[in-house]
Amino acid sequence: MEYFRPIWSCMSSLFCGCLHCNDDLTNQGYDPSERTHLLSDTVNNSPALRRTNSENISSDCQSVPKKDDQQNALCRLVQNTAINMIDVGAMDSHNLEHQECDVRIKLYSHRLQQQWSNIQSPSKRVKGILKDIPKPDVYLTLSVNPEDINQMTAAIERVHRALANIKIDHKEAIVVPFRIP
Amino acid sequence: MDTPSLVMSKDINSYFEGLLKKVHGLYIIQITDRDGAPVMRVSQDKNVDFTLTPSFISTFTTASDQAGKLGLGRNKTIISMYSNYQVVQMNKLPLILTFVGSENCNTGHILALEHQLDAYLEDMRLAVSES
Repeated sequence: MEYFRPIWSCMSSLFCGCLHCNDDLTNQGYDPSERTHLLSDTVNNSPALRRTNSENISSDCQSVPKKDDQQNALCRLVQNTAINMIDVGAMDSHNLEHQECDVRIKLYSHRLQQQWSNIQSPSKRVKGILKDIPKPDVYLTLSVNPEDINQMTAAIERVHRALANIKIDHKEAIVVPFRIP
Repeated sequence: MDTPSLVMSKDINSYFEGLLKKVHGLYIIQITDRDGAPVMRVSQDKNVDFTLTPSFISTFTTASDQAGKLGLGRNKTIISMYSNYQVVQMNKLPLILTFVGSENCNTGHILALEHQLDAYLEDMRLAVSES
C-alpha cells in the first residue's frame, strides 16, 4: 500500500493537474463506474489511427473537443477511484504536532470563555419558592389570615391520613426476570 | 467573585463529572476536535493515558471515514473492547466524543449519554468550527 500511494497521487496530480480538471465531479450528474469506457469511440478516434491517417485532417480538428471529453472522463475515473479506495495507510498521515495541539487547546479554551461570558450562568439566577414574585419582602411582612392557616393544616392532615391508609396487596411477583432466550 | 465564563466553565465541568459518576465504571469523557486536540476532558483517578494522545483520536476519525466505504453506510460510533478497558468513540463532527470505561462498564449506558450531552456540545462545536 505504501508503494502504491505515491504512484496513485502522482497519477491523479498528473492527469488532473495537466487537464485543469478541478470541478466537483459529483455535481455534474455523471457517474462513471469501472465499466465506463475511457474512450467513447476507440476505433475512429484513436490517436494512433489519426496520426497515420493524414487525409482526415479536418476530422482531427473536430475531434479536439472529444479528446477533452475523454480526458475529463479519465480524470473523473481517477478521482472517483481515489475517493472510493480504502486507504488504511492514510491513518498515520494525520498526526498533530505537539506544538499545534497546544495552540489549538488555548484557542478553543479562549473561544469557549468568550462564548460563556455572554451567557447568564444558571447559578446566578434567583433561587427559592418566591423567585417569580418581584418584591417578595413586601408579601412576607404581611400577616397571614388565620383561616388560610387552618385550611392548609386541615388539608395536610387529610393528606397524611390518606397516605397512612394506602395498602398494597401484591398478588404476583414484584421483580420479574427478563425473558432472554 | 468569579467571572460569568469561569462560573459557566465550572458548571459544565461539574455536570460532566456528575455524568461520569452516574455510569459505573466510566473513567473518562473527552471531547476533542477531529485531529485529537482536546476541548474538554473530565476523568476519574484512573491512568488511562492512551486516549489522551491525539493520534488515537485522529485514527478513529480516519477509520470512521474509511469504514464508510466498505458498503455498510456511514459510520457514527466505534466501540473498541480491550482486555481491561472499553473505548466508545462517537463521530459528532467537528467534535469527537471519547468515553473510556472498564471492561465491565455498561456500554448501553455510555451510548445513552450521547443525547444528554448534545445540548452542551453546541458551544464547543461553535468554538471548534470557527477555525
